[in-house]
Amino acid sequence: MTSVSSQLAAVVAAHGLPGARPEPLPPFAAAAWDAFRDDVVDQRLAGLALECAADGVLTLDDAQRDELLSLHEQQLAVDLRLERFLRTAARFLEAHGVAYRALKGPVVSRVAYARPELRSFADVDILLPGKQFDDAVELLCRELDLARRFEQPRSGFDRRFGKGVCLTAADGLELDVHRTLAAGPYGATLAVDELFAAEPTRVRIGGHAVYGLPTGLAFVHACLHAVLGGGAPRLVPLRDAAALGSVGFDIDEVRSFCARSRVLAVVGLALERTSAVLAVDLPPALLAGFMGERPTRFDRWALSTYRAVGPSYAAQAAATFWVLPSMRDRLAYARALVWPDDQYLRARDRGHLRRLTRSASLGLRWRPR
Amino acid sequence: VSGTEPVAVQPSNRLAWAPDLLVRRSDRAVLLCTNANPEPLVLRDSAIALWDEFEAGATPATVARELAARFGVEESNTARDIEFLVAELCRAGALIEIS
Repeated sequence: MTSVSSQLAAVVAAHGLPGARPEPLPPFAAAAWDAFRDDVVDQRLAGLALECAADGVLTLDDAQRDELLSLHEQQLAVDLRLERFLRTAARFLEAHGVAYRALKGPVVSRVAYARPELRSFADVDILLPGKQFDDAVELLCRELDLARRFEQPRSGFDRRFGKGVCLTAADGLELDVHRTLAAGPYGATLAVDELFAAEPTRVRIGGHAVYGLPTGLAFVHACLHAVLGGGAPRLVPLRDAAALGSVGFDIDEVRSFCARSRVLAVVGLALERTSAVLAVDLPPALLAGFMGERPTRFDRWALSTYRAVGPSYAAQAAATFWVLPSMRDRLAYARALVWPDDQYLRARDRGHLRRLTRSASLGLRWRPR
Repeated sequence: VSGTEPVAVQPSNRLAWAPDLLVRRSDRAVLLCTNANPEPLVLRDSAIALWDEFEAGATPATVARELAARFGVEESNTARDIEFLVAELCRAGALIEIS
C-alpha cells in the first residue's frame, strides 16, 4: 500500500463518521487508481468507497465506477453466503442449548453502520463460553461437517487457554470460534464470563434473531482487534471502534469491565489510533473515559508481544504463561505447550526435546520485567 | 438461477418475499441468498423493479399490470416476460405464496 493510497483508503474508511473530511478529492490518474482500487478491495472498503463517490468525495469515471461496483457485488455475494453460514450455526447452537455471541461484521454492520452493504467481512466469528467450548466445537464439526484448521496441543487446551479455533466448511467458508477476544496475555486477562453476563444485542439475519455482544463490549472487541490483531494494520477495526463508540453505551460500566480485564490502555491506544488515522471526531465522553490512561508496566510488557514484526505468536504464548491466575493453570498450560500430543508436535517441531528447550527459552525471554 | 424444474405459479397467486431471505443491494443489482441455491441470485435492470413489487405481497397479474403501465408496454407481453422469472424465484425460495 502506498502512503498516498493508504491516506485515501483512510478517507474512505472515515466516510460517514462524525467529523469526517467532506472535501472532494481530485480524479485518479491510471496508476493511482489501480493502487487505490486494490487497497479498498483488500481492506473490504468498496461499499464505503462507492458511498464516497455518490456523496461527491471521490471522483470516479464511468469505467472506474463500474469496476468498483463489480468488485463490491462480488464481496456482497461472499457476505451473504457467510451470513447464511452464521445463521445456520446460530440456529444449531440454540437448538443444542449452547450460549453464543456473534462477533464483528454481521452484528456491527447492523448496529453501527447505515446499512449492511457498507461493512463486509472475510469470515464469521462467534464467541462461546469456555465451559461449553469443546462440546460445541465437536458438535459443529460433526453435525455441520466442518473441519478444524489446526489441532489443539492437548485435549482441553482450547477450552481453558486458547483464543479459539478456526473451522472450515467444504465450500471454503470459515467460522472462527472464539473463547476469548484476543490472543496472548490480554486474551488471558479478559473477564470472558462477563461477556455472557451482559444482555446481548439481537440482530435479524435472514429472519433469525442472532445474539451478539452488547454495543459497549463490541466496542471493546473492535479496539482489541485494532491494536492486538496482528499483521498489517487494518482500517475496518478502527472504523468499527469509531462507529460503535458513536452509537453510545454506558461508558462507566464498560470502563469498569476494561479495568477488571486489564485492557484499559489497549482501548485508549485504539482510540488514539482511530483519531490519528481516520481524523474523525470521537464523542467527548468516550475520550474522557478511555484516553489519557498511562500504560502500566504490565501494559508495556504485554504490548511488546503484539508487535507487527518479530516473534509475535511465540512471544504471546510465552507471556500468557505469566498472567494465568493460578499455579495449577500455569502447570497445565506449560505441560500442553512444552509436551503436546504427538500429532500436534509432528506438525510443528522435530521432537519433544527440541520443543522443551525452545519453550524454556521463550518462557524466560518473555517473563514480566 | 441454477436448479431443476421451475415451479408453476398461477397469475392470481399472492406472493411475497420469503422471510428467511438474505438480501444485499448495490446501485445496479439486488443479491438474494436462499437455502436452495449455493450462490446468491443476482437481479438486475427490470428484474429489480419486479422484485420490489413483491415486497408487501402481490399477485403476478397485478405486478404485470403495474410494470406494463410504468414502462408503457403491453400487459400481455409483460405477463409472459415475468412468468419465468417469478417461477424461478419461487423455486429458489426467494418468493413464497401467502394467503
